[in-house]
This record gives sequence, structure tokens and C-alpha cells, in this order.
Amino acid sequence: MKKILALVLAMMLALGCVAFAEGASPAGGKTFTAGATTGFFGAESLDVAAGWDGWIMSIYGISENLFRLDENYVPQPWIAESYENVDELTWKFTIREGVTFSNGNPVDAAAVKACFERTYQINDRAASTLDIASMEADGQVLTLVTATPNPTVINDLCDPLMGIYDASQEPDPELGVACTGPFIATAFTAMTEVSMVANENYWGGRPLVDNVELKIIDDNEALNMALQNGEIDLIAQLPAAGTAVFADAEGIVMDAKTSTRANFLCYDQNRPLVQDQALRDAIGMCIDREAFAEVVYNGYATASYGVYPASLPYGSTDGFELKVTGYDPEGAAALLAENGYEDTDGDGILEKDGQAVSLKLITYSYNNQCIQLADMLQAELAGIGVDVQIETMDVLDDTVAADDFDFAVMNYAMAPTGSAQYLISMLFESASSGNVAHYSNEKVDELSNQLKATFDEDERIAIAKSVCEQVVNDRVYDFVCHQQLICAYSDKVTGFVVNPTEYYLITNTIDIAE
Amino acid sequence: MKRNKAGLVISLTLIALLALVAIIGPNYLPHQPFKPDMRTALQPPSHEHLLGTDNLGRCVACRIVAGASTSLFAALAVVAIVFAIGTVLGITAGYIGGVMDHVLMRVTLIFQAFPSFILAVAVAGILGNGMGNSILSLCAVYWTTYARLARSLTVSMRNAPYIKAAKVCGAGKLSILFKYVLPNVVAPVLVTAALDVGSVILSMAGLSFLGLGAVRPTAEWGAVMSEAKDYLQKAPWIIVFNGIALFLVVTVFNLLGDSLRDALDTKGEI
Amino acid sequence: MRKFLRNLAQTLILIVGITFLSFTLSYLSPGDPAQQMLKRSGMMVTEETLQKARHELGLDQPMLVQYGLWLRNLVKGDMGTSVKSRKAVALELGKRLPNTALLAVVSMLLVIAISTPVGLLCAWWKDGPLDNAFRFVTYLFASLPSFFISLIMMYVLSLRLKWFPVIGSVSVKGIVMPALVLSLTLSAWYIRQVRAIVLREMEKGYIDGLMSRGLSTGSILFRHVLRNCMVPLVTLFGISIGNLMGGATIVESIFSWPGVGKLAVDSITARDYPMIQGYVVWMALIFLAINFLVDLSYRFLDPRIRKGA
Repeated sequence: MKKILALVLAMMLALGCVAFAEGASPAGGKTFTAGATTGFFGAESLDVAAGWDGWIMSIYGISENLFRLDENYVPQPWIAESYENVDELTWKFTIREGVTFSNGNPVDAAAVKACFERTYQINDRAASTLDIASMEADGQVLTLVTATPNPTVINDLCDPLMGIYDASQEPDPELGVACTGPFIATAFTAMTEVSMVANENYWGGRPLVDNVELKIIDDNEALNMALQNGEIDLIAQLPAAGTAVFADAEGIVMDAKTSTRANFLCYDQNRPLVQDQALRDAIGMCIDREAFAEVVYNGYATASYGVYPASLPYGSTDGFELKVTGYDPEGAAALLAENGYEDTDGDGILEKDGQAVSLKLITYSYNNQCIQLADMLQAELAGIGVDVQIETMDVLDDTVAADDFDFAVMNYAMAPTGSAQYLISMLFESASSGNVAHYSNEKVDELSNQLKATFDEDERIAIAKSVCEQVVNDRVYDFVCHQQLICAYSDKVTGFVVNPTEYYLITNTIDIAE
Repeated sequence: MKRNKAGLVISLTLIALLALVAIIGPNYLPHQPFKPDMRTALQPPSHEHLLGTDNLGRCVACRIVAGASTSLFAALAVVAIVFAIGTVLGITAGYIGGVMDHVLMRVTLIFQAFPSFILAVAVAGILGNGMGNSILSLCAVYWTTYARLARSLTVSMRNAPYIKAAKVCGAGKLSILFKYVLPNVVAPVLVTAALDVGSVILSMAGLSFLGLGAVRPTAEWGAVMSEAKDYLQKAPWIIVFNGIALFLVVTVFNLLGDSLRDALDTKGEI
Repeated sequence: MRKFLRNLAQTLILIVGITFLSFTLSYLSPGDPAQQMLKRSGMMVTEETLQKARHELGLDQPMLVQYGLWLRNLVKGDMGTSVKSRKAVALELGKRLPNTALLAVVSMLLVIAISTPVGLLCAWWKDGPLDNAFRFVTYLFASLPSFFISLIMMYVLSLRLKWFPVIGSVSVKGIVMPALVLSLTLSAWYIRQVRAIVLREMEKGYIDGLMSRGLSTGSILFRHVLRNCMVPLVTLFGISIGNLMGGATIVESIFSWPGVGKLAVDSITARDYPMIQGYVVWMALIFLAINFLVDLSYRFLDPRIRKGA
């Protein structure tokens, strides 16, 4: 009997330890809880300047920028009240009066300048985001001079890497830098969870909820059940398989907006087999884009035959002469036969100039939709005699850098700042380090440079569309579908708006009925 | 005794049946197990698809049959390898004794010092995914049991009268080992092997869950279950039927192990 | 005392073996640490800088020398830097180890609380309805992958019955599901072992004697039989800690429990070799330490061993 008593005591002791660990829980008031996978919520620190963490902090509602993109990807004033484009290189921003950092320090032009200076020193992505030549601070007016004429300065300032924080203070090892957003972090565990309280002095009005808890849950079905169970109030960037669970669920609202995120194929031009345009076109014809969007994304995606989604002004394929317009495996087989592909040794795999057409396909191990596209491709291409070996990995960078793949299924946000230039500079310019396929088309390079110096909006759209037509028909990058950003939330949640940019989630207007 | 014989016959028949399905089944499938058919995605069990379809419209029943060979033979390969290596090392060390025995026992202790699944995960994780690496990683975990068991059995019979007799008659070391020691060691080790098949299959599924299993395209049950877990609510038939297949195989092998143990009457030694 | 020293010496040999095996594993891992280091620091990767970096990292030394260097750092607590988070491996592991320890302790207590009485009763009423029912249940749990059991239990206990939350935050509510899944899957194995141990004990004659003296079933089972089974039960405990640590990897990642198991799983998908290596070494050493303590405890549990020493 004594032993049982001891056991009970030991258990109570252990539970006591847990209760102690729980001490950090919110003090009271309304709490809003949201969950997402690592891809959407995973920050390594709360320092805007570190890696991609600024992006996540903007999602958290901690950091804010000078400008904010609205639902149509148009920048609107945020911490900056207004701006003036003095000449091609010079921009003047008036910082909103009365905005303070969460530590109480006021936000003025000098603070913004110091913040950008620190970010540029720490993060090498900053210079390629916006090439600043010099800055000058005078009261609330910040004068910014770019190194070259740049028509997209305002869009670039929407990139969360350009988030505003107090650079005069050393970042806290756990809670990072002080920002201006509606919520302030009180506890943070990297890649796991963050607890926040309302910023009482938020310039845009006190947030309607008192506490926000954000949790990373990587098992998709666990994430769904957490919402069904009422443990979380919202799932941000709901994985596509979950849409079926919530389609007719009572008390849960699903809201989706076409984002600029796309699944695309990318063919490494340093590898001989996929240098052949005919093979790339044939593969393009073997993708059942409509079925992929309809089934794998449960309709929360749109098949693509161009580059950008049609929701963007430069997104349509009207007037393009397209080589691939639908799913046509017979056509693909015929195209390959025409171009000298033949199965000479009878092993079911085609050969070209004596070499078997066996391709290595890589994709992300955590992206189920990309994996399913890879599976579809593998089976479809086996049907026309093209052998595909799939390898999945968490990070593609090393394999891509080593040219150890023929093609890849990738997933990017293509115009997060609303500007067409973002993707063109990153992916299509032959000299760009982000051009992982080593795609090179002189005309594209020329058009891209032209786009960089053009300020007229209509002209910019025309140039961007010309780039798209080149890219689509070269098919070194083949865009398969444009997906929607889906959020599922309890019907008790009010004041929540899905913003397709993926930059914003938590705002001061979110409220939850008791 | 009769009941045990019956168990043995039943389990062996079932295993033969399983092997038959795994080997020739894939040639007689009504649907292609790997080719997506998006029009039929996520359909519940029906006449056309007895066990329903998966997220890419593939027939679950066909995929279970197609995956049987991978799931079954990978586990059997692990057991066969550790059985062979463990037994040979164990009886050699046990019979020769001395330094070799000492070293072998130390090495097995070192391997056993790792929590078993963690060792498997580490080996597979470092070698990278692929069936070969999974098999290798599980061999690293399981071989020690066999080496230790074979060794202790050998030591216990080293001084048995019939061995002494063989020595006196001038039989060579090798011939004693293989003619007299091995046959007496094999039976109990075989029972362990049969009982281990189930646990190897489960460990394999665990590795698949961590993304360390078979290379695509695969219908290996653990890998399929790991992917189908995202459809637990909307299409439970995928994960449940694969789970049942896995459960049945584990059960059949456990039945074999139990009845083997009873039939060979090695209870005391294990 | 001499036995204790011999134990200690054997443990030391084991430690060397464990570290050597762990080192060999990552020595065999693909990828060049020198190249990774250069890339991380943003330097140009040329044959020349590579050679230099290899020399600095000691990678041009023979394997045994490299092992020595690595072991020296290990003793100093330096286990290298995580490729993914770029923080010290020891720091990352240390931060999450208390969570896993907490989960393990709670689960283990649950296992003991569930399995000991159930195992005893199953043995007492061998082949009775209770024994058969539990045989079926334990068999079911022991023959299905743990991630499947986790999800089914999550579905039934959390979603349908609404008893416990799905998310495993470090709190009283949050620990229930991961600890329950871990302990139930382990109990499936444990109950059978306890039952077997008790059955063996009951074959001994003294039970009949106790019964004839009119002692109650409960008193015989929990006072006499249980006490005499203590040594094999504690051995069982030592072995099962290893199962628990292995099982924690999968359970932690399903229930988002911020422990070392989840860290290890994340590191495997990220191919973060230094982290995997650090995790394996730590787990093996902890497992070893626990079993060392288990060995020591025999001396207190069984007077015969104490006298024999």
C-alpha cells in the first residue's frame, strides 16, 4: 500500500512540475489562438533583420512596414503617412506622427534610418530587395536615394524585411526587437510557438483581443482536429487536404483568396537531357493541370498555362501564342517520336542519341501537393517512356547548387510585393543567383532591364507580359497552377480578413465572441 | 501438442498464401497501382474499388497487393540477414571463446547501449532514405540479439557429451561447428526470428513515417499509411485498410513464432 | 566494491564504444562539412579554400585522430553547430531535454501504474475473461505502428470524446495525450512481461502456503508476490526506458511536444547531421546512465545480491 501511495505522490509531483512550467500562461482577458505549419509560422528568432524572420514577424502582427499591400497588391500608407517621388532616384517619406515602438520610444525618420542601416548590415538580402544609396532623416521626413532609377520603391518597402523596429536597443535574446505592431511577444520558442499580448498603445487603436497564442503544428490532421476541437480559433494557410474536412463543418468558416503562390517545374539547363526544348514541351503536355488543381487542391487552385495568376494586371495569357494548352499525352509521345526519341533496346524507356531518358526529379519533403505532382509526373511520364526518379528533401538548396537534378517541382510566392519585377529579377535574369535553372534568354534580360527603368504603369504591364510570353514558350520554368491562400476559422472569429500576399495575418481588428 | 502443430500448419499456410499474393498478385490487378486517375480520387469502397481509392484516385486494394512484396520482403530480408550474421558470429565466438568471444560480447553491448529505434533512426537518417538503407539500419539494431543468443546456446553445449565424443573421434573444429553445434542452435534462434518479423515490420513503418523508407513510387504499407494520415477523417479507408494488412501480417508471423516455440519446445531458452 | 569498480570499468568501455560508433556514423554521412562551413560563411568555394577549411577542421587527419579531437570537444560540452539553426547543438538539445524528461517520467509512472496491477491480475486469473480481454487489447496495441495509434487515439479521445486537447503544449492539459499514447503503447508490452514474471513467481510453492494461512488475494499479490518480483520488474524498467525514448520521437512530433524527439525528427528531414549525432550520443549516454542506476538498485532491492557482493 505504501508503494501505491508513493506512486501517487510521485505522479502528483510530476504534474506539479508541469503546472509550474505552465506559469507563463496569459493573465486573463480574451485569447485568440491560431495554428499553422512550420512553413507559415516558423521563425528562428524575433529579429526582423535575421534571415526570413521579418516575414514571420509581420504575419504575427509584431512588425509593420512603411507601406502595406492591400488585397489587390497595391501599397497603402502604413507607418509612412505619405510619400513624394521627387525625381527618379529620390523619394521623400513622411512618417506617421504618434507611432511608438513597443518599448515606448517614438518612431521618427532617424529611427527608421537606423533600423534600415542595421538591417542592411545584417541581412544580405536587403540590398537586392531595395538598393539604397543614401538616407537622410529630418524630424518625421525620411529622404531616401536609390542607386539606380527604381519604379517599385514603394512595393519594395512592403517587403517585411524592411519592417520597422527600434535599432537603438540591443535585441532581447528571446523576444528580439521592439516593433510597432498591434501585438507584443511575451514568450517565444523558435519554430514552436509564440505568446503575445495586446499593444496597449497601438497607433491604429487598441487590439480587440488581449492575448494571442500562435502554435506550429506540423501534422496536418492534428492541426485540423485542433480547430474542430476549439483548441485553436484559426488555421492559417490550411493545407489543401484539410479543405475537405471543413467544407461542410458546422461552426467553421473557410475563406480563400488567390495568392501569387504557384507550383512550377524548373529544368536545370546545366544538365544535357533537359536542354532539349522538345522534351520539356512533351513533359508540359503530360501534366493534367486542371485535374491537379481540382483534385489535389480540391479546387483551391487554378490551372496555369502562363506565369502569373490572372488576378494580377500582367497575369493573363491573352494574345500569347501558346505551345501547350492542355493535357495531351498522345501529343507528347508523338512530339518525342518526331524529335528522334526512340526505345531502341525495348526496356520501355526512350533513348535519344543512345542515352536513356532517365531524369532525376527533386521536391520538398514537407509539401504534400508538390509530392503529389511529382507522383503524377512519374506515372504519366512512365506512360510515354520517360523514366523519373523522385527524391524529396527538406531543403533543395544544396542539391540545386550542385546541379544534381534534372528537374524540380518548386513552390514560390511569385509577386509577394505586387511587383512583376520580383520574380523576373530572381528567376529569369541569366545573371541572377536565384535563377536555379540557369535559364538564359537575351531578350528576357533586355526586357527586364527595360522594366527596371520604366515608370509608366501601362508600359510596365506590357513589358512584363512580353517577358512572360518568352518564359512560357522556352519552358525552362513551367508554371502548373496558382494556389489560393486558405484560412479556416471558427465562426466566433470576427474582423479577420485573408490577405493574399501572405505577409499579414494577425491584426488589431480580430475579435472572438465568448 | 496437437494444437501447436495445427497452429504451425495454419500459420505456414497463411504465410505461403501471403507470399503467393505478394509475388504473383501484382500481375493480376484490375487497376494500375501507381497511375493516378484523378477522376476517381478519394472514393469510398465500392464494387469497382473494393477498398476505395486514394488521394490520386488509385485503387487502395491494388496498392496493398502491390506493396505487399516490398513490405514483406524488406522485413524478411532484415530477419534473414541478422539471422545469418548473428548465428555465425555467435556460434563461432561461443565455440572458440577467448578474445574473440570477449570482443564480440563487448561490441553487442555497445550496440545494445543505444535505444533501439533511435539507433535505427540515426543510421537510416545519416545514410539517407531508401529501402536498402532502412534494411541496413534495422540490421544494425537486431543482429545483437541473435549473436548473443547463438553464443550463449553454443557455450552451454560446448561441454555436452556428444560434442566431446565428436572431438574424441577426431572431428575438426569446423565440422563440429556445422555438424553438431549449428543444428542445435538453429531451432531457438529460428523462433526468435519468426517472432521478430512483426516488430521489424513495425519499425520499418516507423522509419517510413519519418520519411526514411522506400523510394517513390512505392506502395509500401508504412509509407502509404504515413501519407494517408492526412486523410484520416475524410478518407479513413486508405490508412485503415493498410493498417489492417499490416496487422494481419504481424499477427500471422507472431502466430508462427508462438507455434514454432511450442513445437520446438524451446520455451526455457528464450 | 570490487564488483562496483568492475561495473564502472565496463561502463567506461561502453561509453568509448558508444561515442566511437556515433562518430563513425557521421564520419560516413554524405556531405562535406568543410564545404558547408564555407557556404555558411558566404566564402567562395574553391579547391584551395576547401583544402584550407578541411585542414582547419582537422578533416585531413586520419579517422582515429579526428575521433580523438571530436571526443575532446564532446567532453568539453562542444558538440558542434546545428546546420539548420546555426546554434550550438548542446544548447538546442539542452533546452528541449527537460520537456522530454518530463514526458518520459510522467509516461513511465503511468506505465507502472497501469501495468503492474493489470499484469498481476492477469497472471492471477490466468486465461480468465480479464486476461483474455487484456491479451487482445495489448496485442492490438503491439501490432500497429505507433503513429497510427496516436492518430486514432487523437481522433477518439480528443475529437470525438473531447476529453483531452490535441496540442501537446507543456502544461497539465497538454501533457495528457502524448503521455497517454506513449504509456499505453508501452503498457501493451509491459503488461505481458509483468504477467510472465508473476506467473513464473507463482509457480513457486509459497503461494499455496500463504493462501492456506487465509491471506486475502490482494495481500498475497501486492505484498508478497510483487515484492519478490521486484528485481525482474526493475530490469524491465531499465529496458523499457529505451523503448520510451524511441517512441517519444514519433509521439512528440505528432503532438507537437517540444522535446528532443521532435527536434531529432526535424533534424532528420533537414539532414542536420551534427544535430542527429548529438542527439544519438546523448540518448545513448542517458540510457546507459539509467541502466547503471538500475544495476545499482538491485543491491538495495535484493538482499541476496547485497550479501553476495
